[in-house]
Amino acid sequence: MLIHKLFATFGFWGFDWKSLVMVAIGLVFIFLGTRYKMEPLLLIPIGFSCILTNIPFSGLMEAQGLLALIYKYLIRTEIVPLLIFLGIGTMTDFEPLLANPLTFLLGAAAQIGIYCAMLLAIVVGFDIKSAATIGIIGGADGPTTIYTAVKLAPQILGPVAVAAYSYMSLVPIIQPPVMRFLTTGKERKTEMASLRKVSKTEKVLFPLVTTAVVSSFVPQATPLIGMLMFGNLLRESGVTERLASASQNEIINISTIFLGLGVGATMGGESFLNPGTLLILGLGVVAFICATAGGVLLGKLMYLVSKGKVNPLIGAAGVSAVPMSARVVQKEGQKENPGIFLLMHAMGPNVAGVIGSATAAGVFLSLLR
Amino acid sequence: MSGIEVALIGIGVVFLVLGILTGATVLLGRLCQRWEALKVAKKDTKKVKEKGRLVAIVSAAVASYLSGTPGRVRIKSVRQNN
Repeated sequence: MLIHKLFATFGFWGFDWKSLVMVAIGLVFIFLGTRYKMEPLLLIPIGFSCILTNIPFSGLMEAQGLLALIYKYLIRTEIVPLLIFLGIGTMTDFEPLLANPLTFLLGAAAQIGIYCAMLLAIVVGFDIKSAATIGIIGGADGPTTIYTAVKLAPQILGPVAVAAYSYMSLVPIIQPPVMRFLTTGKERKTEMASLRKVSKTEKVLFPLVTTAVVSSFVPQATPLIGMLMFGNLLRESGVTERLASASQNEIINISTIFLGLGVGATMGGESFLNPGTLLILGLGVVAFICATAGGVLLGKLMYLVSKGKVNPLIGAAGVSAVPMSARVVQKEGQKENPGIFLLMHAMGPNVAGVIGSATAAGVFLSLLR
Repeated sequence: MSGIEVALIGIGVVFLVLGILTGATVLLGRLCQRWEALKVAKKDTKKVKEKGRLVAIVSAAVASYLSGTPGRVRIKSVRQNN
């Protein structure tokens, strides 16, 4: 009987506890995104895609299923993370970094979190490729994390991406205790001299110089840095408004939808629900804490060397969650000295962190692939 | 390759690359600032030159008028003394 045949294909016959838990996790992501605005642009597509993937008999992750195709052709080929980097490049203003290039070093120091988390991941039993992918969470850079995961350890793409985006939205909770623990009230009060004005020529040449330098030393980072800097050149050249507008609106929006759907598609119950996922989430927090500490400690060194002219808090912004961590720095500074204005100073290490994490990812790919 | 080796090489390369970028950006800033300053100075000199010429011509015209023979004075050249 046809009715029996139809009855047998009803989705709820295929649900097991794992797919039910994953549907619940998807709903939690959607709830966090809509209610608390936690990275809603990513968590909502990821959550919904996670639900779709775990609906039995939907066929979305079968060979010709929609989500399988999105994952295979847009995520595994790394097209989407790179297109998102193009959009980020167009939206990023490197002026604070150009005005105070020493803040590049704070962006480098914050990458220490990547290596601390990687070493800890090896200690708890992950293989070195997975450990490197987990470490990259500390770079606080979603596209870079996904790019690295796809190349080194695609089997943990789901948990790693979820950890990266969740913790990026938790930066205002994770960073302040570390910042307060490592600095004194006097240091946090430090006012910094206003930044110089940067000429248009510098802004136009910067993406070219950066691409040349990074791709010479770490060619594996060229796709990431190249797209980031291409986007920035579109912005700064001042003559490609249409292209700049497309990359920071349509292209990044479409790519974000596909990225969310593609990442959510990897969150099947079998692969996601295991102790490894909990470990990855735990190691992600360690990565963020160590990254913040690394930046702040170099900031303290700069405070000492400059005889009190650098506020060490800005080091925390080396964690490249742009602009969230720079805002956290501003807020923490103002708690100590209400008249202080650190936001623009913190934007320097913040955008340097993006270059730093892409470079770190490139090094991993060069050594481990 | 051990994890510690990867970590040491990794952090070393990150600092090296970002350190070079620091130097390159400082250099770029200095060159651009110098270039901008030269451009402004050149523009100012041109402006002053043009202004000077105008003053000379107006002075000559006034002198010509005051001498009582307007139209008989011809300015052959304008020379900047300083």
